[in-house]
Amino acid sequence: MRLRCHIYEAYSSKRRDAVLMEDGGRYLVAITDEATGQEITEEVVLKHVQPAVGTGPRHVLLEDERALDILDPIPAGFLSGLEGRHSHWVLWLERFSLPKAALLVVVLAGCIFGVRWALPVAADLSTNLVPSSAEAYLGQVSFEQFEAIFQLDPSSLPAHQRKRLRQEARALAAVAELEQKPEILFRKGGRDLGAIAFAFPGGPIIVTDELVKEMGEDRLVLAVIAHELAHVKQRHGLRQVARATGAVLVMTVLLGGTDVSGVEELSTLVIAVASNGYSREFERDADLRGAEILAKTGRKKNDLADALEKLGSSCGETCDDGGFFSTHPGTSERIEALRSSP
Amino acid sequence: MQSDNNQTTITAGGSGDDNTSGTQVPPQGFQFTGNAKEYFGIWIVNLILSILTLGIYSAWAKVRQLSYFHSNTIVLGDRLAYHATGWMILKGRLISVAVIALLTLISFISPLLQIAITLLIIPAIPWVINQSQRFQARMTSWRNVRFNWTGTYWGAFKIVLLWPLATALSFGLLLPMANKATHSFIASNLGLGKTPFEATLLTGAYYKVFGIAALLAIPGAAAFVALAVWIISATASSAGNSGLPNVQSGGEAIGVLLTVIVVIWLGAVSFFYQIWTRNILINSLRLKDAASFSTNMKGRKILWIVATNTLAIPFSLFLLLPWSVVRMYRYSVESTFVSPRADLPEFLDERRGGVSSFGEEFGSMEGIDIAI
Repeated sequence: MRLRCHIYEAYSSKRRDAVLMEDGGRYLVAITDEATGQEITEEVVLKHVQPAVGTGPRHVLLEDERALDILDPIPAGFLSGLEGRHSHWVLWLERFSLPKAALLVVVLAGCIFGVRWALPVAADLSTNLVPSSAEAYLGQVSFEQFEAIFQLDPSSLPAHQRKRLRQEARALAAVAELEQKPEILFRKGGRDLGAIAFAFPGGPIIVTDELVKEMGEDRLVLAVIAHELAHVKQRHGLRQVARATGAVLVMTVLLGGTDVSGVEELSTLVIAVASNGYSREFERDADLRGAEILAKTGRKKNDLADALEKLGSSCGETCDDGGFFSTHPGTSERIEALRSSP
Repeated sequence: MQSDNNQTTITAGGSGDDNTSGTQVPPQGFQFTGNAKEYFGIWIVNLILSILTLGIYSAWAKVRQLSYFHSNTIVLGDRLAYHATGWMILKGRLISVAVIALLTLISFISPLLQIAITLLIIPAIPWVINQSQRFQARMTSWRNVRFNWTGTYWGAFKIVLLWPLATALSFGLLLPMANKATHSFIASNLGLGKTPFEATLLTGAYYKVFGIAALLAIPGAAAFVALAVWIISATASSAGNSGLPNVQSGGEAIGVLLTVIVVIWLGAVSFFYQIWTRNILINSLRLKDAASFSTNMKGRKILWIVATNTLAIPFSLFLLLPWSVVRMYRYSVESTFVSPRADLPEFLDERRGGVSSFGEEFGSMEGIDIAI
């Protein structure tokens, strides 16, 4: 077996035509002397063989730092022992044929489906490793940053109303079986935030004056607080961060090294859609668990549905979107789900 | 079959031998012998194995991807080669992930430390750039000689930190100077083994294409301002007249459409500018005493490829991604030409070793890069 090749001087582009031969595990190179036209054969030791990718010459580094480019196709077994054990297998998989390609597409779809299923599970498992003190610290830090950025005015609600709501909220938190009762803070939402309530990981829970006024009744405000308590109890904030980080990691692995314009933007889009999907899932969860908390304290489950209805009627169609790019499900869908739950 | 084709190209590459010594052979195109079908197989196997091994195979995937593109790129009858191993890449990736995870953790624990870390990372950027360029260069070879990178810390510091700052402070007017400095940095620090590349770049050439781009951008920018004024006045009038929701949403739709058109227009202009300045670099690039390079890359052609790729990728559920990568790469390779001296000298390489993939991997994870 004679394979045509180029042999290069060590660290040099200087090369001559040669022939590589194998003889019982030894490798021989026959180089034609340019001056005399004579063929000189010498034994060489192959140090490193470049793995085969596609077709084309194979690059081989010799023990004495000279190098070979093997130009002819290399028959199976010629380089036995010098190639990685799995390289033939990978090369076979990579070689294109229509049925194989179709099969690989199906396998890839299965893998992506598997990742879609496994990612939330793995992310939730990893959040279990985060102690609640660390979570509370994280919530505290983000709360401080929030305060610094928005600089909201203190609440102008009457002190007795705030006190009453806090007391009732404490009862809800007791039922929710929270290790640490999150603080309930009232702030003026102003132009930036308006009527809104939200929870930081591990607490505190922020409720704006605008929300309290829009709800009109304590039972509706408390229903919203129950929803936020459910977020805190279920560690939705932390889980959202873990899942979003996971989604970024997955996309990096999937598309890493792809240098085509537009792919990065598409990847960002996919991450946003996935992350919003998780957010909607958590909102549904918080609705149902919030309603459970209400029921356990002897309140009506429907309070939360009523609260949502009131919020929905003031913000109109925009709150009823619930599509791929929304962080919350549509309001009417949420109300429907609450009213139809047993 | 394939190797027969190679043989023809090798003969074609050597056809300039009969020229007298010291003169230049007419330009010969770079060639690309890969195709979308072959790359599809490599791409999809890379993806599947990367997922199944929880990302570990991605290091080997990178090697196979780059090996495929390098080894199918033919210059003067000979192929480029890629020499990094999966282990090398994996090591760099693992260290990068550990460093980034540590930095993220610290930034959670104390926002104050986070500021300190950011201040520490900024001076590290030039180092990362040089490490990354050096790794890429040393892992690529042509005719058994590895490329080389000799960029210094201060050289990279000027390119990645000082010039962008100067560009911002001058409201973009120094952008052509910054581009020229970057190109000069790349050309003067890249080498084929011990043979350096060089380029004589003229500031005037950069300002000329900048001027053309600015002229093209004016109608877009004017439309942008007009649009903003129109939207503001439209919202103001509809606020006072909220009884006509249909008119308002119709106007909104037109507003969104026009904004998209203007953004695409300005994007296209900046794209053209990038291609034009890239062409200035390639057309002035020489390999010392050995060869000169040229390109006939057309902005229009590239824009067409990018636009159709951007449509094809999502509509094919990413399955046409390998095709997109290949046609983009093929065009950039096949629009490049080299005029070698008839008696091409022997190229010599330095001893190998002492390169790590950390800078390259850290840089690509953190988006630190210099682009031509």
